[in-house]
Amino acid sequence: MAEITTSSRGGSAAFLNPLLICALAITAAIAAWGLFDNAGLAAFSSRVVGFMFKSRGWFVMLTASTMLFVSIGLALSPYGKIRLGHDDDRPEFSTVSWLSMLFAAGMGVGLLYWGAAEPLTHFEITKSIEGGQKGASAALFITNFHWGLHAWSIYAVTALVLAYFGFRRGCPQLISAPIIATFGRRGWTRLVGGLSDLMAIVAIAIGLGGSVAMGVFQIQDGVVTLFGLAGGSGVLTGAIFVALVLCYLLPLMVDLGKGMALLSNAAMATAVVLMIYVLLAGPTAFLMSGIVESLGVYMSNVLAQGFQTYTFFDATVTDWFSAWTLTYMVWWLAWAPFVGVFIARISRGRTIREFVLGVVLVPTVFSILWFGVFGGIGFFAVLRTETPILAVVANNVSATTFFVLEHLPLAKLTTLATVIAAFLFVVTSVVSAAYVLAMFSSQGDLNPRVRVKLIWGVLLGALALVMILSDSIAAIKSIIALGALPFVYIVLLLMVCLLKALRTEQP
Amino acid sequence: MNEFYNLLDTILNISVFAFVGCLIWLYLRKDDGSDQ
Repeated sequence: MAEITTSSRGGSAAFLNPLLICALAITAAIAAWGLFDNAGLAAFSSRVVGFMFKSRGWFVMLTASTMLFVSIGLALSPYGKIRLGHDDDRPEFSTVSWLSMLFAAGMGVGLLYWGAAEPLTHFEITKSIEGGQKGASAALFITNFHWGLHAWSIYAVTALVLAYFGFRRGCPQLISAPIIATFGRRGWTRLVGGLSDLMAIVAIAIGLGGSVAMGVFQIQDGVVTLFGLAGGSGVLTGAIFVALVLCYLLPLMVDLGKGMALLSNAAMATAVVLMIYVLLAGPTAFLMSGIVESLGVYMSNVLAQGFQTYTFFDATVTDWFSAWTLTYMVWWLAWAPFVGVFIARISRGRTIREFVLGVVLVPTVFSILWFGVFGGIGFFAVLRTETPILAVVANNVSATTFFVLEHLPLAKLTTLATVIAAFLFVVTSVVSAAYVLAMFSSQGDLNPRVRVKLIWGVLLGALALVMILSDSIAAIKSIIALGALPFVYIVLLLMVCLLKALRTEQP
Repeated sequence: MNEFYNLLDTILNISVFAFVGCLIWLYLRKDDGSDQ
């Protein structure tokens, strides 16, 4: 994922432009608030997000479904033949390499973190809705829904807008560029464009801070399992955090070129090998049956689930829906500008049709396989053995993957591989995010200055520290959602820009 | 307090409808003033 970090030092954009100052001020203020009054920030974000979800949860779901229908519609329409670039441009990367990079960028450490834990967490609720054995199937379906077509459609539309306007219309890689290019340079477009850039920066910074915090929790539990420690401690958390910060600050100062892409691909390859190993070393027939079943359930229910708001259920279910489905959809929106820039950057020369098929369909199939394996083995433990895995999920979500691996052969090796993959995913994500943030805050300069990247690297670290101090995944999720909420509107505006621009094309 | 939340809820949802209305208007209007 780090082709985009192969920048050189220097850069032409003014160092201290108003956007950079505003963005730095807002993110630094949030970080300072969290550092001095962590509980206050968590309580505030949870209250605001709770109210917004209650008031406009329906709109978030409608937006996610709209993204899916627009993506599919564009792929199937005559516009699908339009190339993201000049008509004679051809793809820069092979299809396999392209798919691997975009998947690593979009999901990364989240898959390692939630692989076994998420389906088991939903099981408590789904078995009360669906009852008994159907609960496991429903829990897998909900997990696949969160990581499937809707998530990737949000990425796809954002990336498509940036790629189309960037490569075909020659606009800078900024969120504001499509708005100004479509509606002209006017007072309102400059205002809305500037605000969009600002909100994108804040959403990326907060989202990445949360991702680093989750990475730290995951690595900590891996180290605890690996060395048989009694449990995590403040010192261990601090040591892992400092090691991570040092590891990502270095590549920001020194141009590692293709090295970062290699690290990212290594993390992805490790994750794939891990999945295949668990499939083969675990109860293979049970897992394969589960995968086939969840694929069928997903195909037959996914469109309806995109409109499911659980309006007529009691508070337990509606709270669960807010805490998971709505938070996930907003989470993907928070990541959309960052992942969108990255996917756009590696997709030059592809047609809209192959872009949509590659970005939306293939990662969804991989997610179904991933959760089928890790979620499936979790359900095997619950339904076929006496293993207390549900207690592990309830006590410590980030320990679940390691608990699963402990019950398979070569546990030390697979635990070490998971820790290394998580570490690499986080480092490569932060390096790429610091680059995108520096680019956004330097008026779209493709070679932002090293000191701007470093400032963002340090701020991302401070935000991650805030999230780590909260020591609560629920708090992390609500802080991320708070930063991303405005992006629901921006993504829709960007979509209109694309549809309007496409009307001028001759497909 | 409940009345305040209800009012806020209504205002927020009206703003959503207004936003969607603006998007449709922006999509349909012809004089886009594009500087491309």
